Amino acid sequence: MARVVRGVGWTLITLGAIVLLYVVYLLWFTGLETQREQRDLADEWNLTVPDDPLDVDTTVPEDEEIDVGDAYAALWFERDGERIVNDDVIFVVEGVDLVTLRRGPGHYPESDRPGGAGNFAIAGHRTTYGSPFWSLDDLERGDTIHVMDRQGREWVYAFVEQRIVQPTDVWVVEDDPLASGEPMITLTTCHPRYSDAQRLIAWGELLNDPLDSTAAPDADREEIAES
Amino acid sequence: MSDATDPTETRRGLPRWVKALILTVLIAVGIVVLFTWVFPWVESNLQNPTMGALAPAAPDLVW
Repeated sequence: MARVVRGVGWTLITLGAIVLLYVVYLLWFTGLETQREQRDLADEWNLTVPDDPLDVDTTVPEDEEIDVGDAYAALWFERDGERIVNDDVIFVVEGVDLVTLRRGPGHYPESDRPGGAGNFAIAGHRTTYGSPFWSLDDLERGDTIHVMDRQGREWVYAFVEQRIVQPTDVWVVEDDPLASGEPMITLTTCHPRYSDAQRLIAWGELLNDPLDSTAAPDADREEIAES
Repeated sequence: MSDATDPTETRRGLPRWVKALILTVLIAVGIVVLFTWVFPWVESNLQNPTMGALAPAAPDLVW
């Protein structure tokens, strides 16, 4: 009898230790992995984005071939000029498979490019891998979503709406999801936190004219280079 | 004459330090397995921020 009790006790202790390790993995280890990947992406970004704003091609670019997992864009959020949602500039990678998303938020390959006339869609983790979209639900009307593409063009989207949908509602990442006729950005993440039972969706409308994009201000460029 | 074991007799089997070493190695291997394969697999089933992850059909709609 004593042997059985001891066996059950050790089993429970082991299971408890595994659960604790899983929490450590989720909250700390995955973040470390993404932090390292984001640093690599920042280095890659500095190698590929032109330093001189005058080098930026201000015409709408043809789609550049970017391999899955490579740096695709830089992303940040602002309210009255202050950074929100995430203190750091987030580097977006190409692709949305789960391995790729460990590097950072990913661009849905079938969606449009930044500044395009369609829907530029990004998926990002809410609670793990650096939790880039932890506070996505903080966005309010008037906030802006900033995207810099690989050519150094900055695209600014005005946040317009957020919604909680089912994972099967793939219409949210299709062209013109709100039937507004405007160029859009769509951000998708898990909802509620620590679960992927549903998806939190945030939409923004492009403020720039997609045919007349301007180069990123020097301050933004330097900030990204330093991140 | 009694057959009872002398309580002062040394226990047979592996020395205590060897047992501790084996246990430590087993725990270390277990942690590596958990962090390398088990936890990422569990996490991938719980934290998927993409759309269409549960859509069974229409492959062109599964992103």
